[in-house]
Amino acid sequence: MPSRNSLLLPDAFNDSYAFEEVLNLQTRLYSGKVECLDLSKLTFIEPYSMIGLLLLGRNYLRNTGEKLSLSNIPLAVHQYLYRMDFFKKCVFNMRESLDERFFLKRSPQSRSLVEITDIPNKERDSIRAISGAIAVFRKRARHLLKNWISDTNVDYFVTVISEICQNIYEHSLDSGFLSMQAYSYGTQQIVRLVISDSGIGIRESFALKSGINYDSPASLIEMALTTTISSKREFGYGLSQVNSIIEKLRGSIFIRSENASVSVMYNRKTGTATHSFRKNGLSLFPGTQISISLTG
Amino acid sequence: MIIKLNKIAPELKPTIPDLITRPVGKELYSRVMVNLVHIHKGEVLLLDFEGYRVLDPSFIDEFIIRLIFKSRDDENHFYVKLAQISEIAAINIASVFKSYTAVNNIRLVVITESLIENNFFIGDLHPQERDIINYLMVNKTAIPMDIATFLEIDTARAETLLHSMHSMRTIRQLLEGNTVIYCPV
Repeated sequence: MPSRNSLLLPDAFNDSYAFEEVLNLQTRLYSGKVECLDLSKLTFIEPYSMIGLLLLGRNYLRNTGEKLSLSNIPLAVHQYLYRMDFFKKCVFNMRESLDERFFLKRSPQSRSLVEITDIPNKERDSIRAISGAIAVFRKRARHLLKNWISDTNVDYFVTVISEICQNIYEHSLDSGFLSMQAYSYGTQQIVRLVISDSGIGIRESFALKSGINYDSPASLIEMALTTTISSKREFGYGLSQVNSIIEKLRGSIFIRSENASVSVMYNRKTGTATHSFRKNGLSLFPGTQISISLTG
Repeated sequence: MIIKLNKIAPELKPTIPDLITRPVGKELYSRVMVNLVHIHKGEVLLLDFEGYRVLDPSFIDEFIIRLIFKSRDDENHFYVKLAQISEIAAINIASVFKSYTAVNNIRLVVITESLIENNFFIGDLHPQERDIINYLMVNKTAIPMDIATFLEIDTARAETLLHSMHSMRTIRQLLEGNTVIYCPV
């Protein structure tokens, strides 16, 4: 039974596009009356939405000094969040705990994931965290990339993880999170890597850089992804190299920053058809959130 | 001079088998610079990447690109050669060089000890420049007239090509008496 001060979240945690519905509820969240997020409607949660929820809670805690509570979490979602170390981040108060007998096993069979990993905003700590996440990824790559396994593809993902995570401490002025999961959704096999922060975002990071002209926030995100512009140096390779790797893998990349997003779907690239989509005017959500997927 | 990265990099505790991030690239560059005090003018610096797979673009920018520019110093030039480069490292190096050239209009090329996609270099060389690399690999030395004959171009054009390639440190230039000869890195 939802309590008076709870906000019922929609069943919109199955991909980055659906999750916009949740982000659209931020105004209500900050109305001053919400204490609890009711997750009873959730049937599924994937890594981008999971980290989005974590950032939502962390932003709330930073902005108000108070933790939100989570309630009515369906068992399967609760088990998954527990398995991904979601609750270890201590961002939310828990109204109900998961009984130990329902814990998902941390067996070799459940190694098709990388648990939520903190990416700190201090250089030295961050390098240690990136190295640690890559070491875990390499150990589990056979399970994570089972449909795409090859030495080269594993190495491509190492490059992607390293470059995107470095952007967190170099550009966002904030810490962030990484997570990865191979899963089935309907008839599709998906492997998704998510690296997100709630820092200053791409637009703010380029604010002091002269000579960068763009007509909308989404255009700037697209420039950051497809060209070698850099906010700190004469030019940067990170995101453009990530983009070319995703193209080689025929995957897709979704980047959201503040109120704009860009999706590039190389998996749907055929002939001259558009495979890159820009969106402006989204609900403001601080930082940069990136989701990279291979679908088969 | 041979520098085995697996001898100096472990002190930085990077994730074996990867050399990643800017700070690791910067630190390794500093350590290599200490050794470079002892390199002779015109000597080859062989960087051996045995055991490493991924060199990410940030590392390449801070380590390899800086060494390439250092090697181009007129005062104390040397030649960089890469050994035991993995497939992904070669792909990332080529991609970073391409991006660098697109922005700065400065070509970056580095010689490799073994064949990478049928070439003994990574980077963008014109067909005639590739032919010169291959000619020198087989014949070991050449003077401009040899190259002119081989490529069926005039000697002045051959001299220009060889001079340009030496500026990029893709071929070595030696002086024997009054004769300038060229040989592979």
